[in-house]
Amino acid sequence: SERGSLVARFPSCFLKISTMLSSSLARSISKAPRALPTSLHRFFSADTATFDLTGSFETYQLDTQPNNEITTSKDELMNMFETMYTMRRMEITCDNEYKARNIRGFCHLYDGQEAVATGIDAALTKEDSWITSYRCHCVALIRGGTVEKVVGELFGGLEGYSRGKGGSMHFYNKDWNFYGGQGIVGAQVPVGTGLAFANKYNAKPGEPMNVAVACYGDGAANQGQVWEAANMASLWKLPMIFCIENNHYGMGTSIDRHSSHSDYYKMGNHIPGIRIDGMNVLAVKEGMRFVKEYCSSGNGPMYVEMMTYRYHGHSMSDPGTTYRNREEIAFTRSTRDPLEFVKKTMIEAGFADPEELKETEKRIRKSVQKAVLKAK
Amino acid sequence: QGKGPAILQVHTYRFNGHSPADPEHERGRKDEKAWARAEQDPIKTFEEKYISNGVFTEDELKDARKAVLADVKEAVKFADSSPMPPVELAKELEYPDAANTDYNLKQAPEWADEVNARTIAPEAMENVQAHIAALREKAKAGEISIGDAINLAIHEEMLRDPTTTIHAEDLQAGSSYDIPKLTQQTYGKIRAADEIIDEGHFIGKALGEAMNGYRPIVELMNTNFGIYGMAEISSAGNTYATTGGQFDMPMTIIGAGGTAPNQALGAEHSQPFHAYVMGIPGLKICTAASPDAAYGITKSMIRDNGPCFLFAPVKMMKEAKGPVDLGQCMPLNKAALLHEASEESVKAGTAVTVLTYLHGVKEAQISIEAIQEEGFDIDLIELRSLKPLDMDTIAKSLARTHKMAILDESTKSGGVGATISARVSEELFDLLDAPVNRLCMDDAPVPYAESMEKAVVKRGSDLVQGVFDLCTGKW
Repeated sequence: SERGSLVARFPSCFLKISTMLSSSLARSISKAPRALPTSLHRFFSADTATFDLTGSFETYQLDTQPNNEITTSKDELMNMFETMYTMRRMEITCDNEYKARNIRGFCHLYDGQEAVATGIDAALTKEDSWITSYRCHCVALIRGGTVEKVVGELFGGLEGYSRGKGGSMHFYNKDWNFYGGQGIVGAQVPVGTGLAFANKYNAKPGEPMNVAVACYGDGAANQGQVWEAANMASLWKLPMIFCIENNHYGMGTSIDRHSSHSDYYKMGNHIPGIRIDGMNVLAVKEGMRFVKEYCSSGNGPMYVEMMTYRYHGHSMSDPGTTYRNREEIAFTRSTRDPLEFVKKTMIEAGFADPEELKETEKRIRKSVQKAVLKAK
Repeated sequence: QGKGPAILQVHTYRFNGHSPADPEHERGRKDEKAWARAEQDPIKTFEEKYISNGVFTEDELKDARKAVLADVKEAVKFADSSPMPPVELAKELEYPDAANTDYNLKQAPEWADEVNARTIAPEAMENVQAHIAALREKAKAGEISIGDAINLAIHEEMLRDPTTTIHAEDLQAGSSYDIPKLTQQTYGKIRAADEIIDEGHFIGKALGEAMNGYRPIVELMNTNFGIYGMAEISSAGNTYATTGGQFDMPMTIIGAGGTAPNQALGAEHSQPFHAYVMGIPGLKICTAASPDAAYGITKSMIRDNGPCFLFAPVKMMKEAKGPVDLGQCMPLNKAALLHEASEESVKAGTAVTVLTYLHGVKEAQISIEAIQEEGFDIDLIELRSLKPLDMDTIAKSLARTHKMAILDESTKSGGVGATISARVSEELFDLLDAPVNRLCMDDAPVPYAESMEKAVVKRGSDLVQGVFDLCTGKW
């Protein structure tokens, strides 16, 4: 039975709480591939371990798929954790600073989605192009940014990322091929296709091309220009990655009410696609490694759907609770939080103990605070 | 059968190029075209089939061809000898309803009550009537906001004429300013539709609805998003004239927009969309900076049979409160004189005509005291109708003051102020003692940081300086 298969794949706590969820999230969680919390496979040494990623991927029109396991080191995992925790603290700080009116205008926070940005960055090089939406603070941070520069821009300061001209939705870093930061929903996708075009044009013969990643949400996924861009990317076999960050809500409208078809990774029709558990940073990394290999070899574009969640509302002027119930938000926090997942992974692998992680968290909290004060 | 849409792909062929102007770049099409004419001609195929199976004889079809040829020849002769249209027709076909229409005189459909009884559940009707009553109380107490005033007008008109529909993003949650509040719960999911974040499609969809007998209201959450629907808005403006007056286009677009001083919304949310659409023919464009203007103009626009666009000030939607002239439609071609300069100041030559709209209205109002303290005064005119422009009200004031400043929420190039300044210079030149002082946004993306934004977006303090400059001859 369907219920039986759920038991096999998910921890028991899910079954108890599933009735509290809005139907759409329950349905999509049951569809979402995700790694089991205890995914440790085996130790290689005190410093590296292999983790099971079974269930993290669903593919479409593909004969191959990412590996079902990933080997990583203590240092790498710790690095990922620190990055993600910095992102988390930075976004929470933005919330406070916005309420204190030090940040004004629009502010779209990314907490809950940290694993997506971190995992993508782990699979890309500095030479790959990356463009995203207005929910861009964390991508700006990981793409050669600092908390000070990001928050500095939000405060409107000269030392900010865009020298105070841009604000929350307009971060860029030319050195790191980070192209923003776009104010209008979905506008970044054709731009991303243009980045891919340039990458193909500039590629040295015989060498893999640099890829272009355009991140956009489920709310943007049905826009006309996305299909237009996908058609041409496929026709010209561009190294383009259409990356849908599916957090299940387009502003205040759930995917059930805004999409007649919400298997976004299948939306490319003849273009292959992959759905990835966006709450597992290792799955995101391995998945994107696979996608980059495919797209940079002249096979054309791919649709990538990251299953993720945002804890905040669409923006700071949206409490996020008029169209979602609090149980859903709390449930996601307690069972699928990307930070908790990394912590648990490290503890089980013996890479760190809870005390060590607490100290790390404390240290990062302090350094974020310091950076914010400096930006003021 | 209600199963949803289908895609029909029909394989066909065109014998000629894309158009007569098409040089047909793809080579080898000559052979292909010859083959097509020989093997793929649908008329040939028809003739062969229906002669060989005996439905028609060869002669019958020959005669039919002859008759059709004669008809076509007649048609061409008719076209050639038809008189050219008179120049006046273009002006006649500009708007289905004349610019000076009194919308209070428009008849409501007689079957409205019957249809409402049939389509609105009694409980929903009770709820919406209570909602309307509550808003009316607020209006009478002078405490209704712009967003709520528009919502009230919308409910009144949707009940008055059941062919009125509404589309908005996050509609069922009331969107951002409660403009569509309670519409879906009252009129249902199709008549009050939740749209996805894709203005191009839902403005285009409204066009189809409007040509098909309905009166769509489209709310833009922020008018900057309207840029995605430029082609569709343009098409709406062209519909009545281009169809020779056959199709009305009763579409009403309402959006929160403009650029408030220090709004910090980022460059892409601070663009003057009202300026961008000004040049689109066939549109009536208005602005409202107060609940009563928003209410009265919304009602008229919904009743108007052409495409209308109402801009409301994004940073004043919930804050600006005031009374409303309940039940009254406002004209769509009139400006409003909000403050009159004293006779003394006019006589002393220290009075200035100030034109403004959207956030500029509040900025100008709070600057009056400072202006008067400096020894000057202003005739404050809120433009309300950007197109058509109320040159009469403007002329009347300019005849008193002979000096004009425009506090303009659009850019130096191609803005509202530019258009008015040009017209004043063309039509009212003799009334001017000084060039029009246009206080407009720089041709630059609006910066986020306050220190830079001050220079780009003009505000009350700039108006005070502008009035001073005009009156002391600094130009």
